[in-house]
Amino acid sequence: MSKNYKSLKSLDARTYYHRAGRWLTEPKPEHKIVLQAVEIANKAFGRAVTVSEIVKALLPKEISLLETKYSESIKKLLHKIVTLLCKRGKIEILGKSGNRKYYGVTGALDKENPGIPNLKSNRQRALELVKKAVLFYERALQMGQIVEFAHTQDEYQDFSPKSICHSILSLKQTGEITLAASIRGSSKGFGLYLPSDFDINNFLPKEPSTWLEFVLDTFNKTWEDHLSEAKEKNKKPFPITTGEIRAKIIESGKFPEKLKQPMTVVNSMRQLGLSDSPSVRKIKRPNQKAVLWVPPEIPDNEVDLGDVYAHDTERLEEAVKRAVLRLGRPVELSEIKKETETDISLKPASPSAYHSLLADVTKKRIGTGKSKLQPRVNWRVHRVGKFQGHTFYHSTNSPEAKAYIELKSLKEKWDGLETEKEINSIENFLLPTVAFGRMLLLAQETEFIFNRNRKLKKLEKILGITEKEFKEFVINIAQFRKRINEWLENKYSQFPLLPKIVNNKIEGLTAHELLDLLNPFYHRLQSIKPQNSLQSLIGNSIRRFPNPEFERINLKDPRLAAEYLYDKTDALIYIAKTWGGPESRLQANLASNELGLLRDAAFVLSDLDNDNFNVRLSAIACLAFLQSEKSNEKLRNIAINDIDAGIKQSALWAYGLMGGKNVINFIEERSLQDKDSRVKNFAAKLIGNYSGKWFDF
Amino acid sequence: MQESSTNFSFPIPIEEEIIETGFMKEVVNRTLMVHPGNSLWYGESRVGKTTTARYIVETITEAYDPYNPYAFRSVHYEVGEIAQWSGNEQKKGLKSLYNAILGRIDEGLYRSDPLETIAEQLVLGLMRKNIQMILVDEAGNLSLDAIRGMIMAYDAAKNSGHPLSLIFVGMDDLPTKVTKLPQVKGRIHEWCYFEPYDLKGVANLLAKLSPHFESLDLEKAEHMEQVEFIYEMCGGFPGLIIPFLRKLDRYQLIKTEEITTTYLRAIHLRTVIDKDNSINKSKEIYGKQAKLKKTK
Repeated sequence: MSKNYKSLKSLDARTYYHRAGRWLTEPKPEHKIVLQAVEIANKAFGRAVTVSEIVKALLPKEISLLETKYSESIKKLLHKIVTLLCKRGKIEILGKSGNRKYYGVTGALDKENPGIPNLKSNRQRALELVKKAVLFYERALQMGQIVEFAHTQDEYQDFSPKSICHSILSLKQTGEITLAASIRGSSKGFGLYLPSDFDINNFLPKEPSTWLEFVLDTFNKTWEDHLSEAKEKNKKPFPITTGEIRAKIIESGKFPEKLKQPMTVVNSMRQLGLSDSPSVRKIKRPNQKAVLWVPPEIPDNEVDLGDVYAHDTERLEEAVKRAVLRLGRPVELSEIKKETETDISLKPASPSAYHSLLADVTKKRIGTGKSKLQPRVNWRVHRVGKFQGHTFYHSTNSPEAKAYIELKSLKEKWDGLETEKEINSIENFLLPTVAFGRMLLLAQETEFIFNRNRKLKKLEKILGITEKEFKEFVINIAQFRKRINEWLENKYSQFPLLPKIVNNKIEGLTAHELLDLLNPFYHRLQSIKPQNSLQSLIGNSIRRFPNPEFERINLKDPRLAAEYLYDKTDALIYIAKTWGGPESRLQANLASNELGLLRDAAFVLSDLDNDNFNVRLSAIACLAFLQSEKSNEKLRNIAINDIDAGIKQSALWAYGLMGGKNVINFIEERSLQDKDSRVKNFAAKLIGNYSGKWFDF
Repeated sequence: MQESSTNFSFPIPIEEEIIETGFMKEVVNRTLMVHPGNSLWYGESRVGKTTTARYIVETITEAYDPYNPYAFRSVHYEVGEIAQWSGNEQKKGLKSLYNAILGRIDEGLYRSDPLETIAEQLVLGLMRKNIQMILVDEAGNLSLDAIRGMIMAYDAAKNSGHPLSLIFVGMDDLPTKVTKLPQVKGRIHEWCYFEPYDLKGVANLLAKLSPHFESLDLEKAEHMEQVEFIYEMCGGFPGLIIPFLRKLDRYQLIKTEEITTTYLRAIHLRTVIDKDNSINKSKEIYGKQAKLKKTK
C-alpha cells in the first residue's frame, strides 16, 4: 500500500483522491450535480454565486437525492461539496462579502470582475443618507424628511422607512448623529437630526419649517403690527381674528394645501393655545362666533374689543371686504352672510333679505331724495358675474375679479367634457367615424377653452386660484390639446372624406316643446310647470345647453326667451329607454353607447358602408335618433339591399321613426317582397301593431 | 427585436397562433352536437380552455355566411366576479351577458326593470345580431344565482324561438356549484374536462410549436432530458409551455447559444430567483404589517 501511495504522491492532489481503496479520476455523480448547479447559477445570475444561490439552481429531485444519500441538510451538504470541488480545482472562490463566499466554475467568469454585489450595513447606509440629505437641504432634518429624501434616491429604494429610523436612532445612541433641535407641529417627527461632525450653527433652520411654527410666526408678526398701529394712534391694540391670520397666510403664498380645509387655521391656533406652554390666548365673547387671539401674557383689559358701523351699507361693504380677504376671490351671498354671523357688529339692522340689501349696495347710481339719480361716490361692492345661478360680488370691478367667474365657467365646461374618459375609451367605440367625430368635437371644445385661457393669462393675477393652480390648468389643457391634435393628425388620412370641422349645432327644444314631446308617454306631465318639476323628472338624462339665440327672459317668442334648451336627441333616447318597447330600447341603447356629445350625422353616415355588421347596426341606431334628413335615403336603401337580415330590420324601424317618405307603404312593401322571411315577418309586425307611436315597438 | 434610433430594442410581437389539436376538435364537435344546448368546460389553469374557446369562435366567424339560414355568430368574453350574497346576483349575471352582447345597459333601466324584461331585451339583441352561442369564460367567478340569471336568457331565447347555447368555461368550484341546483344542472347538456398533457403530449406539442424541439431526436437521452425538464417545470399545461418557449426565443435573439438542458434550466432559474425574492420580501414587510393590524 505504502509503495502505491509513494508513486502517486507526485500526482496533482486536487485531481485525484483516495476513497475506500479506489482511485477516482472523475467527480462522483452527486458532485457532478452540484457542479452543474454552479454552472447554471453562474449563467442565471451572470456572476459568482453563494451557496444559497446554488441551492436554488438544484431541481427538487436533485435535492432529494443528495439529502437521501448523505442524510444532511442540503445547505450544509453543499458547503462541504463545494469546498471539495474547490480543492479539486473544478470551482474557485471569486470573492467575499462579510461571511459570504462567492463561487464560480473555474475559468467561466472574469476573475477581475466577478460581479459580486457591494453590501453595506444599514447603519453605514443610514449615516451616508443623513449626510446627503442634510447637505441637499442645507439644514438639520426631521426623521420624516430624511425618509422622504431616501425615496427620491435610486440607491435607497430598498431601504425601508423602518430600517432608516431604527438605524438613525442607533447612530444617535452611539453619537454619530446628534439631535440638533426640537420643533412642534409636524407629523414628520419632533427632532431635527444632524451628523455629529457638522456645525450646528450652520444647519439649524432659519425659517419656520412646520405649519404650526409658521402660523405662530404669522401671529407674532401680526401682533407686532397691531402694537405699532396702536402706539401711533395712542390706543389699545386690537386682538387678532382668525380671519386676519388666514389672510396673511394666503398673502404669503405658503402652505396652500393647508388652506383648502376651512378649519385648519382655527384648529392650529387652538393647538397653540392648548399646549403645555401656550403661545397664544383665546378671547371668546358671548353671542359671537368670532374668536380673538392675543399673546398669553396680555390680559383682556389691555386690548380694544369694541367696533362701530354707521349703517347697513358700511356693514355689508365690510362683510364683503372680509369675505373677499378670507377667501381671496369674489364671494357669493352665503359667504357674505357668514361674515355677518361671525361678527355681530356686521349684522344688518334692516329686516330686508340679504339679496335686496346687496342689490342696493351694488347699484352704480343711487337716489338722492330729489327724484334724481347720481353716481355712487364710494362704490365698494360690485357684482362681477353669475355662475350656476349664484351671483358673485367683489370689492372691486377689476378684470381679475371677473376673470374668476369666467375661469369657473371654463373649468366647469372642461370637467363636463370628461376628456380623459373620452380619449381613453376611444378604443372601445364601435363606430370608427363616430369616434373620429367625437374626438374632433373634443378638439374644437378644447381649442375654445385654450384660447380663452390665453386671454386670461395676460392678466397679472386671477383671484381665487393660485398661480400654480392656474398654470396647472393651462398646462393640462395645452397637453390635452397637443395629444388630441396628434391623434387626429394620424387619423385624418383614414377618413379623407369626412368634414374637418364638426357641426356643433344641437337641435334643441324649449321646456314647453319638451313637455309636448313627453306628454303622450307620461300623462302626469300635463299638470306640471316646466321650470320646476321637469328637472326633477328628467334629472340629468336630457342635456341642457345655453340657447345661442337667447335675448331676454320675458320675450313673447319662446325661442328667444329660453335661456337654456334641451337636446332633442337626448330627449328621444330618454323616451325610448323609459317608455319604449323592446325594439326602441334596443336601438336607444346602441345609439347612446356610441354618440356621446356628437350630433353631426355626417360622421355617422359613412359607417353605414362598413363591412362589420356590428358597426352598421350601431350606425343605424345613431341615425334614427339624430333625425337628420340626409340619412333618410340611405336607410331606405339599406332596408332593401343589405345582405344581413338583422340590419334590414333595424333600418326599417329607424326609417319609420324618422317618418321617412311614405313610410307605411314602404314597410308594407318590404313585408311582401323581401327575400328573407325574418325581414318579412318583422315588417308585417311593424305594420300590424302600429298605433301612431313608433316608440311602442 | 426591432432596433430603434436609441439602442433600445422593442420586442417584435409574436402572432398568437392557435395550434389545432385533436382534443380541441373533439370538444368543439361535442359542444356543437348539443346546440342549442348549454355546455360546461372545466379544467385547471393554463390547460387550454380559453384557447379552445377562441378557436371555436374563430371557426364559426370564418364559416359565417349571411345567406345561409343555419349560420350563426358566436361571442366569447371573460366575466368578472359576481360574489355569492352580493345581492341581485341573477340580475347581475344577466347584465353581464347584456353588456357583452349589446354594450353598456342604461343604469336607470337596469335598476327599475324586472329580470324578465332585461332578458327579453337581451334576446331581441341576440336575434338581431344572429348570435346563437355565447362562451362565458372564467365562469368560476360567478355565484350560482348569477349563473341562474344567465340561464334565464337561455330560457327566454327558447320561448322566443331563438336557438341559443351558453358555454360556461372555468375552473374553481364551477362543476360542483352548478350541480347544487337542479334548475341549472338540468340545463347543462354537455360536460368537457380539460386534462394537462402527459409527457408524450408535451413532446408532440413542443414539436409543433418550436423548430428546435422538432429537430430533437427523442431516442437520445440528452434530447429527451430537455423535454422532460419542460414537462417537469410546466406540468403539461400549454399556457405555461408557450410563454417559456417565447422567452427562449427572445433570449436566443439576444445571444444565440446552444440549447441544452443547462441552458433551459438557467433561463428558468432567472425567473424563479426573482419570484422567490419578491415573495419573501413581501412576506417580510406585509406579513408583519398584517400581524400588527390583527393584534391591534
